[in-house]
Amino acid sequence: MEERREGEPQDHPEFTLGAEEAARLREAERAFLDRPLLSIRARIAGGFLLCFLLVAATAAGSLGLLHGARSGLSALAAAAAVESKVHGARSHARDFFREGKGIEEARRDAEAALDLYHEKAPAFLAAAGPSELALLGSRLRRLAQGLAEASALERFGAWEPKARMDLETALERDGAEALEVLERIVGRQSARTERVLVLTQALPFASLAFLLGIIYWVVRVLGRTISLSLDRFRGYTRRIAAGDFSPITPAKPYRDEFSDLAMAVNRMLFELRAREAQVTRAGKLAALGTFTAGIAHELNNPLNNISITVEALLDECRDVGDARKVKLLEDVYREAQRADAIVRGLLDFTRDEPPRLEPLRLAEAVEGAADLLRNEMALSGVVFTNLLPQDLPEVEGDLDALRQLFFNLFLNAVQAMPGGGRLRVDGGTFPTGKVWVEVTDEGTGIPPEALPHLFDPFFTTKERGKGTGLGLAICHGIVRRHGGEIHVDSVVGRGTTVRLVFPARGARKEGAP
Amino acid sequence: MTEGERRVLVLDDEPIVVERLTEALKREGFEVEGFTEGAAALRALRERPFHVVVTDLKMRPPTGMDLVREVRRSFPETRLLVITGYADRETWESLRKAGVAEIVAKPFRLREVVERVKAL
Repeated sequence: MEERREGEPQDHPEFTLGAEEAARLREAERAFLDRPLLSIRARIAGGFLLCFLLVAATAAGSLGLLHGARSGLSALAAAAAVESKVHGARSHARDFFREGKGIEEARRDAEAALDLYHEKAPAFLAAAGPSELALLGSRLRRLAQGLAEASALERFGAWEPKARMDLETALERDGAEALEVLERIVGRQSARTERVLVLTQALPFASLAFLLGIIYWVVRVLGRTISLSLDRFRGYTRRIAAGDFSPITPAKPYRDEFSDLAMAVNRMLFELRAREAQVTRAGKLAALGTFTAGIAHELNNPLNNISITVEALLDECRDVGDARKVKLLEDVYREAQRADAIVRGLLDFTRDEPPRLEPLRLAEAVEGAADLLRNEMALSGVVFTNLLPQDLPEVEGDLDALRQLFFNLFLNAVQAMPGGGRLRVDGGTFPTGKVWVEVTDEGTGIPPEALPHLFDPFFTTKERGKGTGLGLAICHGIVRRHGGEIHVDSVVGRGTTVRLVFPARGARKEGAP
Repeated sequence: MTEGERRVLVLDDEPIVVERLTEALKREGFEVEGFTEGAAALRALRERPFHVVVTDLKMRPPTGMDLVREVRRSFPETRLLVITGYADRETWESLRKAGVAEIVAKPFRLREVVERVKAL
């Protein structure tokens, strides 16, 4: 999103739309930019980063657990080896005390058990406390020492029966105690290893559950954010289509990609309105041109008639009688009146004062308007038919305003029939006494989407330069000031009917707008 | 052809233009028939030829342009003078091409038209 800076050439629409609109746009933009940035992209990236971290943690955890299981198993194996050597030493020792042989084997086994213990003691440390380990060590050492002593005594044949019995008892007790400690260690180590294996089994499920949570968050929270934003934008398009061009203001406490979109839409609205203002201005200028040409054309004939009649009068005045002079002067006067009427009609066109209501025949206004457009109709091949009934009740109205009303309607009809056609005016009364008048043409018709905007000022379906978009707006104002109604029905390609309803005479409330 | 013999047809939907031109041309010795409707002018043209036709262009059909075409088609001898209040370049050129001898823009002066008719 490009930043707007003061004084850049792109600011030019301000010249056509005014500082107030520009200030509103800037205010909305600042409101967006002031909010902390929390983009959807960053949130999606965050979601995926969480997923990645979870997978990495799961892998690391699995590795740790596997390592624990493996060292547990090797500790168990070591304990089993020590145990088997202790068993061997005790069994050989018992043979020796009973049958007098096997003392060397017993001594070797006891030393092997002690060596294994020294080698594997760190592996046991996790399952056995230091004091237990020390106890195991001392018993194994005593077993080895006792058997070494027995071996030496046997070799020198220096056995005393009492000492031999004591030694046998001590060796039996030490061996039993060592086995007891080993059994406890093995039992605890098995339980530990079992727990590690259970954890190893559970880890993938826990990790899956977390993953599911993250996916839920991404889909639910982000999805909601996106769909709510889209809903809001649907609302904005409806509002803009309905003609509300005010800038979009922030709806969220933070800023994301939709905020950028909103700012872009605001900018577009601003540019569109600026362009619209330019087009309207260009259209007004073009209309002014048409208007000027129309005035020149309308006034040309009476002024030329006056001019040539005066020329004739000047030429002839010395030679002709009074009757001839009077005739020529009457012509001059009549043509001057005609020019006056045209100018008056033009003034009516721009007048916007409260109607001076007086009883009048609508046919008078209709004929007056049609007369002003006689040339235009003839040139376009439009046939005008007035079917207003002779006995149509009078209405209370302002003749000038009503003439302008019908002028505008007829002009639209004529311009809608460039190839000619029929323009019909019909009328009648409702049982309530209201008077209706219909103006029907066989023109190009109005597309349905334009119908709701027909009475909006500056709305026009005519090509650029052909209409100011004020005609029907003025009509609407005139009808409203008369307490009446105006409806437009149209079928593209078939034609348009404008229906006017006027209150019955005397029915209009005093002071109604 | 002497001036007393010259017949002029005047067509314009403005009655005062027809009257003033008719009077002024008659004062100069022309034999003049004036019309405000194209149909009547066409009828008169077919009854008896004119030496000069003075016509406006825009009016209810048949228009002055129709009269110009009819004259060009059936009466090559007849000279044409067109009076028009709406003379863009295109109209002007197509009139010249159609063999119109004189074109006078409205507003005009009586004397101007009479002099040009006399010169034709």
